[in-house]
Amino acid sequence: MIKSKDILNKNVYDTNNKKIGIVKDIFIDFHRGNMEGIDIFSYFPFKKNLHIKPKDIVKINEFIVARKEFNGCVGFRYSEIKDMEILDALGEIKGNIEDILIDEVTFNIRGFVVSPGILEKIIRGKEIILLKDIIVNEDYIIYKDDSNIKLKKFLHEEKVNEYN
Amino acid sequence: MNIIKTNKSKIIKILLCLLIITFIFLYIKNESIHKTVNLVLVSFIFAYILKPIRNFLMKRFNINSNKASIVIMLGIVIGIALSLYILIPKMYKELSNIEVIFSKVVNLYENIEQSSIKKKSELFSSGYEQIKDRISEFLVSMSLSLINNIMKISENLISFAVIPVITYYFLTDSKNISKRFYLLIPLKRRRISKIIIRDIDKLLGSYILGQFLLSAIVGIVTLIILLFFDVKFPLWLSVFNGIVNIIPYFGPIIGAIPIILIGFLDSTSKGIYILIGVFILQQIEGNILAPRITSDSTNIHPVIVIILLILGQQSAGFLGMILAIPLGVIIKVIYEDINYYLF
Repeated sequence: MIKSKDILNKNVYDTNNKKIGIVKDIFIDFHRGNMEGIDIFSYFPFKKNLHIKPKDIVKINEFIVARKEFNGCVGFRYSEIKDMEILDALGEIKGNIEDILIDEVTFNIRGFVVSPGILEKIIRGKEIILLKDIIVNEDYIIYKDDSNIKLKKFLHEEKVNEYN
Repeated sequence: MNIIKTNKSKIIKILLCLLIITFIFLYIKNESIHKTVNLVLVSFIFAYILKPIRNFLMKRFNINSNKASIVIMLGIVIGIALSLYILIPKMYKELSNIEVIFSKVVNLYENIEQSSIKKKSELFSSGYEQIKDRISEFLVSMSLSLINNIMKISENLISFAVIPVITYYFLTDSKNISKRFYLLIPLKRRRISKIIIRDIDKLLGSYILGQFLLSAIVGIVTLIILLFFDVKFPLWLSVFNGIVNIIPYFGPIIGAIPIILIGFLDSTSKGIYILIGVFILQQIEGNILAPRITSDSTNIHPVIVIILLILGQQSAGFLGMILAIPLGVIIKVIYEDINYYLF
């Protein structure tokens, strides 16, 4: 599973090893629950923003390699939901959205990471909510608290074997 | 005895903390430790700035780390020697013109003072005197601190010989030194330290090199503009502009002011031309060049950049302003990575 930091601000190269740009944003398709595409900011000031479909992504590691780009993603940007408040069914604030969890093979959105606050997250820890349990409004997000199960941790891999 | 056995790890941690605190205390109080640590720190910073160039040379020409470092150090020594050999006589010649400029400035100043202000109102003239005092105080303190710093460095003649050598060794053996350094960190925290240092490297490396490249370009283009318009002191002004450009937001403004002033002193039309030229230069550099060259942008909000710059200037003057942004970048990366991996 990958978090937003594994995609955002990474360099994007195409299959000819030419740099396309940096990832600026993620497009989310709420209806199907997966990532619709990536928004890329390219260096040449005259090229418009490019989008990449997830099926064109070859590999995500230190940088992203993509097969081809196109320009037609419509939909929700991750930057619009980031840091939005989450209210539960009683109207109480649960926290803010801090991060998004995406499956790295199918690019399904697994869930969101909710943080109670800058200082409190050190004490209380963060929580994970699933995509199917939330309704997104303009200024806040509503969380339908169906079951009494709280999700707390997940597995995150990172390969580090460089010496500088 | 039982108490010591049960709390052994805690006691060891407390002892270690005390040890670190005594080291820091010694560093602040004891002069010789202070100087030695500073030497090593400065060499480390130089080596860190040169590391991307070394990596580039190693990859491009397929030589090992030893040879690449030698090439870089020799190149820098020769480069500095050459530029001093060429630049210093020219700058010295320009300085001889400074008498004329000073007399012009004093004349202008006296004209302003005598003609309009004193006659118009008491309030205005007293406010003007205060502003004048404050500005001269500020300029004097800035230049004094800068000169102080330079004198402190050149006091230790040893450092001139030692710093290049230590920098060379840091450059050659950086892999081994970092391997040894990681052994200092407790086992459980080692992986996240590697991740943090890798991320710091990514952001800082390109930022520093990008700033240097930008300053060099700005300096050269300023030189061309000044020579084209035949302004006095082209070398001093362009070198000053280039150096000051390392500071993100205030740098270009600080560098442009003396240029515009000296331009205006010659004639108003020349001043306006220079104003337009410098303005265009800053725009090109800021909007087109800077994003391309400093590729991995450090995503720090401009307000925080300004606050960091002010803090840096208050605490360590000009040098503080240059160092404030990299320090801020390091702190931001550490906070973000710890937050990220705390999960």
